[in-house]
Amino acid sequence: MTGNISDEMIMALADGELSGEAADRVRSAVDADPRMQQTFEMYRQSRELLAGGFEGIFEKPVPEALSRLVLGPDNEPAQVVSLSTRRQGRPVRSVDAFIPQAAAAAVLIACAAFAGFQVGQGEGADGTVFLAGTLPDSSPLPALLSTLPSGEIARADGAAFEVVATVRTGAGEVCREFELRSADASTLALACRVDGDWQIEVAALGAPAKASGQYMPASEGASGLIGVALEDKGDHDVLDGGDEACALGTGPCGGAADPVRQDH
Amino acid sequence: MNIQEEQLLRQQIVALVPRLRRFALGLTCSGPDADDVVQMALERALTRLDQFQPGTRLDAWLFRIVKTTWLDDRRRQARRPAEQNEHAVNSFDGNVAGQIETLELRADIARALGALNEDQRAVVLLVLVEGRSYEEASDILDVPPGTIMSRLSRARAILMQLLSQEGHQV
Repeated sequence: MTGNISDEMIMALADGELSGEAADRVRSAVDADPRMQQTFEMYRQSRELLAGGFEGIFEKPVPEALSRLVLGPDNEPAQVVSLSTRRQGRPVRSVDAFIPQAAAAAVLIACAAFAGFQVGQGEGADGTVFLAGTLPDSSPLPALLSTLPSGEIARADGAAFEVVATVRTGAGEVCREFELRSADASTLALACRVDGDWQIEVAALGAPAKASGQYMPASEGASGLIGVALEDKGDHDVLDGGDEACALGTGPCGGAADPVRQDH
Repeated sequence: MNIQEEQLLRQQIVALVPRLRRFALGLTCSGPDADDVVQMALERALTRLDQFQPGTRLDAWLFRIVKTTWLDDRRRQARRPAEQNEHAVNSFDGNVAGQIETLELRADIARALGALNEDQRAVVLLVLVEGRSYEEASDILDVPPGTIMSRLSRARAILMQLLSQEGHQV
């Protein structure tokens, strides 16, 4: 049985590329043969040694020239965090694939105190920031999203919360674009109601405010990114007044003015 | 692609730059060269943004561009070594190499990678350092999975031989 196990199959086992019966078959063969064990060990160690040789490289700061090259010199970048994986119930995902650590930290500043994002820093092996989009029960955000009419501002802990717009998608999903502003940063985000719970779809970080003590509106770039997220949802109606109250369940339905067709 | 979509794509590209730099560092075995290659690759990608297929993996697309850019650059320098200095002077106006900490690769790793041929080096970096599956590496490098496996297996034997001579426990 061991005669037809190639080195490449042993390598595939060491690399986690085999599963099921194939993995079992190669594993039994390796377990039974010291030479194959040695080969397996060689492959395992080569990964360890090489990956170890690149440790810390990923965390090195990126030269500004490279970022500028991609974004253009005048772009005040809005940083986007896609949190849509939450909806599929996947484990918390590392933000490093989306935003630099500094931006993640700013999202933390903007959101943690008020919005109640579950944010932890330095939890990853490489010190990356994690951000979970599921809002904890203690967060005031779900209640505000469920009740606060667009255009009204709620304040807490030095931050301001305002719903910019409420939309209903073609699929009947209700989403609200909202802004969180503090002296340090402003965050524009899109939340959609899924099975009665509010899920953050996208959070875009606008330009940090200067130390003026003034609230800083989210940048145009940030609203552009929210716009893209909304476009992804296909046709949607912007709801105002009575339609919004109806969609939120805070007012009666029917008899209100027709919604404005936004994207049809 | 509208302006907003392009802006989003550019943001996503920026977020991938640390990975591209790490990949380029392994290919070039030199921090300044790695940033040169990444810069050229990004310029190349930016002129072809419309060729990126939404729904496909952006990182795979960029890894592929970094690899071909590196190969092109190597060939160009091999043909015209006199231009090497000019290229080095012109690239980045010194912004990257001069002002910011450049990446550094451990000497033993650089020596071991240097012993591999171009194809072996690319596959080793994608699978062992970037954590790509054989299938993803096959897609990025545009060679069949069987070729990925034979290159990878051969490359690792060479790496281990060299690294064991460097005193790493084998």
